[in-house]
Amino acid sequence: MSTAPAQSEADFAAPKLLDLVRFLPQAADLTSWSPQGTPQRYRGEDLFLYIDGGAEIYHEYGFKQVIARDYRDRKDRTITLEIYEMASPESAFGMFTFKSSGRGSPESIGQDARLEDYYLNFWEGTCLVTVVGLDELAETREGILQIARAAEAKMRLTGTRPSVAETLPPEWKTSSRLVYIKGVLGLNNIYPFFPGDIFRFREGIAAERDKGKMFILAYPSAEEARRRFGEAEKAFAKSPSYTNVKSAEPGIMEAEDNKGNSMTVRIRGDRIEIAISPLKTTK
Amino acid sequence: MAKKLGRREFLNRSATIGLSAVLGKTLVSGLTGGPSFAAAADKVDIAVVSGTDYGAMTAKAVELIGGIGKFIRPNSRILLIPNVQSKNPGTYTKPEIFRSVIRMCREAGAKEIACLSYLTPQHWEGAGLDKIVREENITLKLIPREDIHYRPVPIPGAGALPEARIMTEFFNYDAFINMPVTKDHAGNKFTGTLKNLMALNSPSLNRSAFHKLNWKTDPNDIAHLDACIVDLNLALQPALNIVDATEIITTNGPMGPGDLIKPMKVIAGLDRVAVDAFCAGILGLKSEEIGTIRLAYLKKIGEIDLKKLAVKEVKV
Repeated sequence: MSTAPAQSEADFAAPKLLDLVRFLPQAADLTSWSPQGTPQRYRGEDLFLYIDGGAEIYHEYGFKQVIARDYRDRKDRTITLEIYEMASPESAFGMFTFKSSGRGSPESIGQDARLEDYYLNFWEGTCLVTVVGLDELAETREGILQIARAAEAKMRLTGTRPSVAETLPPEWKTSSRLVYIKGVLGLNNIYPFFPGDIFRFREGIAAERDKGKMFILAYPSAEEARRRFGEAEKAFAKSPSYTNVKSAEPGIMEAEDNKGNSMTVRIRGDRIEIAISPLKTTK
Repeated sequence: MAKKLGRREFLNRSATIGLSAVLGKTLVSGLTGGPSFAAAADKVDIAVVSGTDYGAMTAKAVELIGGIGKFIRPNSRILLIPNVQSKNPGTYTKPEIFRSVIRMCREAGAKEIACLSYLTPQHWEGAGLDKIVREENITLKLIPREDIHYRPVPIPGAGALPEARIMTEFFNYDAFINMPVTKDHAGNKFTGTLKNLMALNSPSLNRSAFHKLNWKTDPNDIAHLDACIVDLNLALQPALNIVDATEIITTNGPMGPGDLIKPMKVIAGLDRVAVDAFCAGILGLKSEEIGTIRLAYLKKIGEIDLKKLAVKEVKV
């Protein structure tokens, strides 16, 4: 019989890890909802025991540990609270942006929060918190907010957003969805440029607005950005997914994709900017 | 560490598996040239049933492709492989679909119906399938994750995964029905019938071989993952694929929570590539852009072009 691996208290008391148990709301912190069972905890590579076949994106951002606990109300409805400790506030912010859609409503919980149809994400310091209900009923959504606020009240962490998020052009800063990205999995989930990691960026920000997208990919130096731009130029030219690939001028490349979009790729210092917008069609 | 079998010994043992739990070149010969996709007038390659009664939709989908008796034999021992990823909406195979398939197998004369899983009781409970297991009185065997419980299986013609390690218990059954929920996947953007077979493979191999050692920085990691999934599909052939596309996540897969859509469809078919190609469309994806589907087609596991197939869609 297979169960979650036994992990001693000592395992989770290792230095440099937060004691996530302290952040779990207790029955006294809640009305209508009570904790159920024993919390599940996973650390480092063991995350794949919790998320079978899908832990990689957390590791791309930088994952340390997670604790998950169920809560039930009198009608036997269930809400699950997950608190992920990430490697840095940037990582927590990044996973928050990755897991949030552009349609959720902002809430005043943690440093940023979004309530979706049946779940809520917020981040605070190095932690990402996800609270999930199994339905979209008003009572469940109220319970989600209650549990999230009770966890937040116990956390009191701080962290700063990555500075690259501030480098978007003004017109993109109010986009419906902003995602901080740390690698090719995050990038390809927003726009699958190539099967492999051609851009090899250090960090980046993606913005989505209407049907357009803007990416800012940051590199350690301008020289590295130029090198990656050169690699990208070759990859666009070779890929069957793109047509009309041309260099408008040094450091600026244009192409069209097979989904009816035009794109402009340009170097700005130690960054590559990519703007994607639907092709204008003439009637 | 599990003992490696020699090629001859492996084939001798495989031959006893019979019907569709197919391992080894002699038994996959039906696939090596690719299935015949000439769509006869009365033949349905992919059945797609819409509605709200998931159990009835499942039964209708199987009926449209020829009935369960076409895919399993009386007195056979049948494995069911549903997806029990989490309890988050749109991430697991619906209990009603699971129950419907169990009952069809029983009516077809299955001697034993069982599930094998390396996941935990919490996964089965969260998905609500443990309750169905109990109510329908079938067997759920939770297989430990250690390699000793998995049998090495060489994969002739593999590009990336020369050897799978399949649950040893698997070899006690005659056929299996692949029952994924189709949904988003943060790595390769899509999961369906092809990827679901990782549920039969050693979890340690799924970690160590399907991802490159330096996967965070290796530009070819996802392509390698896709190639391994396809290789695994060279070694295993389901008797039937039944896909839950009733309520599915289109973001934050495979565990969610994520954007939920409700296509309210159940899809059945023998051809994994074709079924996945159809399901990719439900998620708004182009099948030729999904690495597993494209590569499985190139490996002649199935057909990617739905225009060459008989796809029948009905409502119940």
